[in-house]
Amino acid sequence: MPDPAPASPTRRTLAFGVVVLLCLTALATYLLVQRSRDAAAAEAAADREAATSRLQVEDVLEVPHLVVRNTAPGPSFGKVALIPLDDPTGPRAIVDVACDRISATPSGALCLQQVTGMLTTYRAVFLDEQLREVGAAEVGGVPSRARVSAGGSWGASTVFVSGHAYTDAQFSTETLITDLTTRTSLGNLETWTTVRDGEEITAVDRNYWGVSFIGDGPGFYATLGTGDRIFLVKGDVGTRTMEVVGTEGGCPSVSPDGRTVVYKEVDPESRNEHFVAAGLAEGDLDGRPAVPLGEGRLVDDQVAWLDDDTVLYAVGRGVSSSVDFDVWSSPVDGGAPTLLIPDAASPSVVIPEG
Amino acid sequence: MYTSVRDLPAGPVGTAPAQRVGGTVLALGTVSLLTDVSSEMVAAVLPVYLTLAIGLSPLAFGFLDGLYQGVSVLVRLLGGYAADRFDRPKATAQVGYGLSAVSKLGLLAATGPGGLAAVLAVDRTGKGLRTAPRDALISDSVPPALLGRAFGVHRAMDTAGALAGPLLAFALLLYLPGDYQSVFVTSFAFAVLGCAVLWAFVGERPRVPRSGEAPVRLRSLRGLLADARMRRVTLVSLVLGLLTVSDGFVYLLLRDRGAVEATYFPLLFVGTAAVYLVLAVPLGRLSDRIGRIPVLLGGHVALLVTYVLLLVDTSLVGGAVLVAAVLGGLGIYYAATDGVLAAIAAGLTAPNLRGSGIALAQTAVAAGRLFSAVLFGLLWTAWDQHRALVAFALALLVALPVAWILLRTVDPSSTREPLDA
Repeated sequence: MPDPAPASPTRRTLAFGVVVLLCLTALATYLLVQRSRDAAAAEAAADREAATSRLQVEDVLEVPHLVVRNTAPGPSFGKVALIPLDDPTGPRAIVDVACDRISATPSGALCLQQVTGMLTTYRAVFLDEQLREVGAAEVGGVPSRARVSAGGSWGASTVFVSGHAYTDAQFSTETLITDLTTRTSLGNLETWTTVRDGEEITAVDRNYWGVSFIGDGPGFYATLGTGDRIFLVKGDVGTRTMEVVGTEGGCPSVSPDGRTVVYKEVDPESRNEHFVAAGLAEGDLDGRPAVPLGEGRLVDDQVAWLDDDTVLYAVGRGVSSSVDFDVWSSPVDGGAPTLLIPDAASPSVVIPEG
Repeated sequence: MYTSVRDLPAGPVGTAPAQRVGGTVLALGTVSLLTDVSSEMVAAVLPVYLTLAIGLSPLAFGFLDGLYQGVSVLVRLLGGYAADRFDRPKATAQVGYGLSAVSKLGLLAATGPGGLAAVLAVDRTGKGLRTAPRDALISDSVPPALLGRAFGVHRAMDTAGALAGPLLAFALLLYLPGDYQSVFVTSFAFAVLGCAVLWAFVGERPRVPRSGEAPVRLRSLRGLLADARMRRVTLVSLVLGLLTVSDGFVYLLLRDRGAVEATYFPLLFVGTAAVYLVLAVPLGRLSDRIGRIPVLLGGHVALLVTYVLLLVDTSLVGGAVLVAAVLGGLGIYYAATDGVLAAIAAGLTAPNLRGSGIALAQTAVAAGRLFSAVLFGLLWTAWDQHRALVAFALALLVALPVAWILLRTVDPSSTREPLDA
């Protein structure tokens, strides 16, 4: 079999030159167009934001409110916003702290933020009840989940840590528990003890994420991943132990009244995750079958609670952008989800004391 | 343009007719450089893109990635065999590079975990397919006495691309914040350029009519394994691969020694790659001069020293010194083994079986490393990291003299005739 008509070296080189020229011209044009679009969009967003009415932080702090990460385009993108609970689509107050994830209570908040530089680093920032920075600690990677117990006693942060191998990026999570009263770390959950059916789990690939405290702790729920299995675990900060209580359960979240836990289950057919609500009795699963929530989209979030029967979570708009999020709400009885706060993520509900 | 010199007699070591590697090696090096820029710029942003934009859990990604590593090992054998079976290593490599280029376009379209899994599968298949045929083309293009240098040049260019890729990705994201699509489009453009260089500047293996010679079929591979030298190289590669603690574990060990923060993991990779880049050519040349087996095993001695460094008390050495020494050790290990092994395998096989021969040796290493990760994880769990590392170090200490005895006589740069099909 002869070679298929080999082009002469000169013609081949010429054709190569044309391909290179086309390729580079097309790429440069594409990038320049994207850049000018970005610049135009940023300018428009800044103009829009300048025309937006704002509330005062100290006013909103006094009424029941939502604490979110503001994702409206503009100079305040990524900063913490406060929104009165009775008007979630209305004007908001902006706090000058940027957080990728924030969890707030009346007595303080935990914020996970990135510090961009030549080498991006990440911090867990502790905020007081006025949302002022009172302390910080380094965390090891991209923020994933943050949670504070109801009374502000404990904080939990989950970040993604990449253990770079030579050719591939392997992933693991790192979940730290912090005593917020003294702001001292109680260490990575991987150093705590987890038992399943009375036996300690020691798999080296185990990963923990998505802590949710029961009330003000010390009890909590979390997720343990090992191999391709995901378990629901119940733990105790006091004894630094955890026990497997369910064979499924991603990113659990316990309701304020402690009677419901919402977590993610993997659909055996589509392999997609969806939220389900399970009943709790005195902190333990009550054994009744879990009820699927009405949310059908893929949601990468740990839910927060609007009240004892309604959860909140952020949903991204489209896949081309990693920045546009809205907060949606769903009743735990399986009812349809509704849009609650546009241009926001990482919600917490704060009802001021007294 | 055919630059193959496969018909040149194999000169004795040190008296090679030409002191420079040919245009084909530089062209293939450029292809790899461009392709690595393309793939590494995506690899650098993929984790964040997946978690922020797609919503795929990173753990699911890690699991998929592990699965693909396994698939890629098998596809690599297939790529080597296909190159020989159809006697078209360039065309086979072209398919591999093409698949990876197409997968970059797929990233633009993939909107969910399923689509993304398919895109990654295409990318890995492409990577698996192209490696052995490309190395066969490199070895066809230089006299046997220059194989070490040729692979050294190629691996240095390849690593330069791997280092530049993430930098380019981060520069792009500074220029266009949050615009991952632009990273994928740019990655695709680089992949296309790589394919274009391969198409325009690398010739297909010349088809010499081989009268009376059977074309390569599956049973020819049995002949490959019938050669005692090839069998030994494969066996030793498998065992040494099995005793190689993966970089990921080494970096974790450094972190657990308190020598480095997890945030700096990407820099550890850069450090190792930089040492590899600088030493690939000198060590390749050294292997042409003093023999490839001593350099290959010497690289493993550097690995053994690295293990020992990780076992000593950090307080005696100091964190920064430990990190530098460990990265240096790993870099020497890669520079002394990766290209040199390809050169050894190429030297042992006749041109018409070269793709399969190289694929066999490389697959042995890759399979060994896959099992090594599992084994090291198990030992880490059963005992602890310190004892797991002691076990690996002791096993390597025993394996190296045995490997020397087995491979001493397998010098591919010797004048013995290579195995024919």
